[in-house]
Order: sequence, then structure tokens, then C-alpha cells
Amino acid sequence: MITVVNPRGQLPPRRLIPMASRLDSIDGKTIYIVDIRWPYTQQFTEELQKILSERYPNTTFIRREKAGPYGEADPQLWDEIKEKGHGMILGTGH
Amino acid sequence: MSGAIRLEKLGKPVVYVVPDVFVCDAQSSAEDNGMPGLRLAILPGREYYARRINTKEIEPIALSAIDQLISGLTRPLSEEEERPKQKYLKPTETIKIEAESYELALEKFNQLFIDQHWGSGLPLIPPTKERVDWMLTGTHRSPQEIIGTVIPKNGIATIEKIAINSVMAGAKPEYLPVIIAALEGFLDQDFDLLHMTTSSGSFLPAIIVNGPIAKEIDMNSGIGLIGHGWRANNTIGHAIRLSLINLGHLWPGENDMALIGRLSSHTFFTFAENEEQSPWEPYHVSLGYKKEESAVTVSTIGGYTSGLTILGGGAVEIWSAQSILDRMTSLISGNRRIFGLFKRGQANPMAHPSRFIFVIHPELALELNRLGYNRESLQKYLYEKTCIPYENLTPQEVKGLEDRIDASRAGDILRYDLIPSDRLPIFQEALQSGEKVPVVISPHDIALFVAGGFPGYTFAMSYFRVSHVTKKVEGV
Repeated sequence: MITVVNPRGQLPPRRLIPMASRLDSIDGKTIYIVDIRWPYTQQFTEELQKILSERYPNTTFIRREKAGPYGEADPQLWDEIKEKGHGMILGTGH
Repeated sequence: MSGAIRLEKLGKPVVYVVPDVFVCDAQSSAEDNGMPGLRLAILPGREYYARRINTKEIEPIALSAIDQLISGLTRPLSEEEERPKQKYLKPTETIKIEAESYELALEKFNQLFIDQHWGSGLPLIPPTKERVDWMLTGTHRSPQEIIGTVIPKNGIATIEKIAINSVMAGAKPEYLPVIIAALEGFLDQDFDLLHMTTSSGSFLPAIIVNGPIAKEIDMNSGIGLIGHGWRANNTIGHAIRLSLINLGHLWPGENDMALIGRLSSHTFFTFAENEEQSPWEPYHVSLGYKKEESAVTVSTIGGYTSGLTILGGGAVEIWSAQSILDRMTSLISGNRRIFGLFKRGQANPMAHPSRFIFVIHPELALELNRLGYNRESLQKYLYEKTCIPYENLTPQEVKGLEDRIDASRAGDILRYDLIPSDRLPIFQEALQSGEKVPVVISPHDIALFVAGGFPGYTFAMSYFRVSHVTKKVEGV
């Protein structure tokens, strides 16, 4: 028998954040499609906006590009979505 | 990812779109940010990457995501999503491996550790308490001392945990202070460890040791300096590899997304400066450390920036000091592309200013010394030789430089792209007739080490100008 000690670093406790309530439906709502701006994400998010707008004509889909470099916040956009939007689609993660 | 969490906190439902190959990474990151249930719309990666180039090609991929997007925004939250539960418990301190013989137990131990993602893929030495205590004799520092937390999951790095991983790597106690110093370098605020260890760009560290400890522990700084066959070089690197896995809770394809893995992934490029054969003061002394002190420099290199470029030397090649200097300047000058590629508000790795490490073989260092160069004057030569006359700049390059200066002044810039405030006047004054614009932000972004044997090669390694840190070896 060999008894070995655990090599893993202890993880600190994390503050867990509850998710936002979901929408009853997207009818009459405004959904932001936010482009993170990796290569070719413009084409993809534009196509998403086109398809979603055709399929859900009672919903407003606004496509926006996140300002600033990857990994950094765009507080103005977040404030705008908080004020005018009901939900967000963010992509793509690489 | 952080934007998605931010909006959820503001009360807006979010769906994060991600190709399937990055799902594990996205889930891990969501967990690290406190929202393990963040909803994803998953794209078929094979088709997405092949067809994303235009809207016509990408249409079927976008169509495949629609139902997931609507469901992600409207499907009621589960109890777990509404009230997420802490996942992590205190890990078991000891693990018992039982088998009919020591050989079978050793095999069982190695299989268990790789299955748990606690190993590197190479055979490991079992970290028994006795062996860890023996490893800890290599430092005067307390086993309970915390040197920081290791990303991506912020595992706590104690001296004891580093010693455990050092045992597993096959290191000796006398190597432990070097291993600790290297990790302190990685945890320094000026080192972007997250990018080095998780980026798809496939980077690796160079770990370069200076001072008397290098000789005391028999580190190689001569022929074969980044190769195998030297216990100190190889197991120090391996101990750091294992510490990054186990303290950071890092694993390839899960949250380490290096697409091709890494060069020398198990031991990294770990070597000592050849101080005995160098005509110049040791690198750490040039930074202000005393000659009798030892220090470790850690630096991100490689990936898609430049793994290792041989610039001249060798046993059969004809070379001169000038021919190698010309290749050095040519390599640096190639970075001129950063001028025109910078666009304010965009993260473009091709626009990040670089830092270069040149490892100069002793024969060339002696010749350069004979020609009147020391480390500082050679840095200055390379910096000045690669400046671009203002008259030769294209309008796009001038615009990029002006934008970079404005963004740096406003603080509205990624730190990888930043011109620091003390260098801003140089760039501002350079943008006029008769002046020259530097390709590297500062002469200090050209780090010069002397290493290798007789004969040897001079080689270059590079990355962006951050993540190059030197730490004193303590607690010997």
C-alpha cells in the first residue's frame, strides 16, 4: 500500500450568483445580439439577427458590437441593455 | 463571458453562443465567475469554423442555434439555477493506494492520478508524506506559507502543495527554492498567467535561472541547454508544469485551450544563463540584484508569436557577429506591422507590441564584447537600429500610431497594446519629420542572456511585452 498526499490546490469558496428570471415569451420584447468581435463573428451575428427577425416578427432584435478589447467590459452597452432590453444573446466565445 | 454574468446580475436573461469545442472551457469559466448554470447555445464547431467566413455559408449554422437561443431565454429556471450550490468541498488530504505489491501500487497510483487529471502524462513519483517532508528540507519557508492563488480556478499555492508537486516531478529538495521563485514570478501582477496557460494560442514559459544556485544544483547552461538529460533543468520544469495543473486546476481541452499543446510541454524551456562563459555581468545583476544572489526569470514565449528562431552560429555554419546582429534587427523590424494594424477598441494580437529574448551563444558574446558592446549598449543598438524613419511610414501606420498614443493617454486600451506614460513622449515626438519611431516600446523589451556551449547557436524567443518577471530565490 502507498499513502500519498493530495497535490491539488484548495479552492477558495466562491460567491454564487443566481441567474436572472427567464422571459415568459419573447413576443413584444427587445433582445440584444451582442457581437464580441472575434474574427468572422460579425457575419454570424448578422445572420442570427436576420433569421430571428424573420421568424419572430413581434420581437425586436438589435445587433450591437461590444466596444473595447476582448475581456473588458462595455458598461455603456450593459446600461443600455438594462434600460431598453429584455435579454441578450452574446457570441461567439471563440 | 464576464459581460454575460454582468447582464444576468442586472436581471436580464442571457444566452452565450459557443462552438462545441469550447463548451467545457465556457462552463468552467462560468463556474469560476460564480454562475455555473449560465445558458449556452452550442454550435457544431467543425461546421462553424469551416463556414463562418460569409453569411451565406454560415446560415445553416445560425439556423441550428435558433431553438437553443429561444429556449435559453424563456425556459424557466431550475432550482439549481435559481439557487446554485457550492460544488467544491475540502479535498481529501491523503489517498491510500492498495495493491498486492509495490509495483502494482505504483502503477495504480499513476493511473489514478492521470485519470483524476492530477498528472502530466509522464510517470510520477508518489508524493508520500515522508518524501514531501524530505522535499521541504530544501527551504526554510513555512509549509503553510501561501504565495498566492493560481488561475484559472484560483487554487491556493502553499509551499507544501508546491513541494508535493515537486516530489511528483522527481525534483530534489535543493531545487525547491527555484521552483517556488518561478511560481512567484507567474503569480506576479505583471504576469498574465491566464493567457499563458489557457489561451488557444499555445504559449509556454521560458524559465531562466541566474546566480550561484544554478551551479550548486547542476543546471545545464551549455550544449543542449533546453534539451533532456539534466535532472535539475527537466524536473524543475516538470514541477512547474504539475503545479500549474494541480494548483490552477488546469486541464487540456477543458480550460487549457492551447490548440496544438505546447513546445516542451512537460518541462518547458528551463535553463541557466552561462555566467562562467559570459563576458558580461549576469542578467539578474543588470536588473539590480547582487551577484551572490540567485534569481529566476519567467517569461511567456512561443505559440503563434514565435516559438524559437535560430539566428546563427553552430558547428558548420559560417557566421559573423554582424550577420547575427542583422538577423536580430530583421526579426525585430518585422514587428513594424503593429503600427498599421492597431485599431482603437479592437483586440488584435497582431497589433500587440513585442518583447524579445535573445539567447546569445558565448562565442558571439565574446566577439560582441571585443567589438565594444555590453548588454546595455547592445540593447540600445538593437532598439535604435530598428526604429523607422517617420518619412517611411504609410498613412495607415501614422493613423495607427496616433490612435495608440491617444488610447494610451486616455487609458482606453488593452494592457497588451499600451504605451506606458513614461514612453509616451518618445512616441509623440517621433511622429514628425526627421524623427524615427521605435518598433519596440522600450530597450528593456529586448532581454539578452548568454547561454549555450562552444559552439552554440544564438536564438530568439518572443511574445507580447507583458509577462516577463524576475524573482529572487529565497529560503535556501
